[in-house]
Amino acid sequence: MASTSSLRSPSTWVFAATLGLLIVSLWWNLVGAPTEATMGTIQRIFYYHVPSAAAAWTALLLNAGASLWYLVRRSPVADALALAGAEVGLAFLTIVLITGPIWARPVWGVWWVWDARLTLTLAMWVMYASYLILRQLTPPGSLQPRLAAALAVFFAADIPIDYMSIRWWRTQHPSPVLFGGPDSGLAPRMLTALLISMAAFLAVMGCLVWLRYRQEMARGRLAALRQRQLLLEES
Amino acid sequence: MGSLIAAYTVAWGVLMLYVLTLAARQRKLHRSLQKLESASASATTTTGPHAR
Repeated sequence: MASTSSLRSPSTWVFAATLGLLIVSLWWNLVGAPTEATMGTIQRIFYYHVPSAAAAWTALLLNAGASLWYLVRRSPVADALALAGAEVGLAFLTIVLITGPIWARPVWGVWWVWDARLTLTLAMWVMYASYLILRQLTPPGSLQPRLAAALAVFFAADIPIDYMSIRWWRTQHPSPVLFGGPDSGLAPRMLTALLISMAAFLAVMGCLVWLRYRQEMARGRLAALRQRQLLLEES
Repeated sequence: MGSLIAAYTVAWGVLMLYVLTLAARQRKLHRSLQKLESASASATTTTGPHAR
């Protein structure tokens, strides 16, 4: 039992706090925040769409940092963190890429346009999906972690370009509402709802990365033990 | 209103799906650990506790 309980983390109270934050944010998103004058109720998708993007970028930046760490130190901790960051980042990016078109269809009249922000986000999804497929298909222990780490550092260049795309270029995608200059900003209660939702999504992202990281470390230890067992049986 | 429900359902659905895959992997890890433990126990009984 000791071995399985050591895999169980983060602790229960962190999960409970994250779940509580999600419920509070759901109330703020649906009830606490005022209805937007032009778009109406559908604008409330914003409180899931934007925090999902923030969570995805944070997880993928973690993947890039851990990959760089792996290339320098060859640490299995860094490799496990990189994998966890990529997987969780891809899950949040999937939410961004589905909630975006659901919001766009009634507001823009189309599901999708090939503007800079949307195209760069889709490209990012394809890059990290291919990164995970590469990790899945190549045998561990070979050049796989090094190749994956090098690719991850290279792919990370898309993150700042994607973030800045709506500032650098005129796009169909709306301009930023936070840190977007003098014309940007939100009504105070909308801003409160967004910030609570952002905190909730970042907390969920943190919990998932931590769980996946622990799982990957346990899998690595188990594989090493199995190898040792085989050697003992052969001798 | 339908689009709002769809978007929120997708977000929760993707997260739930990911949590379920984590749980499935955890079960697989647990099974591998049990297999290793029983293999190790049978090796100990056939070769003796101090055998290396």
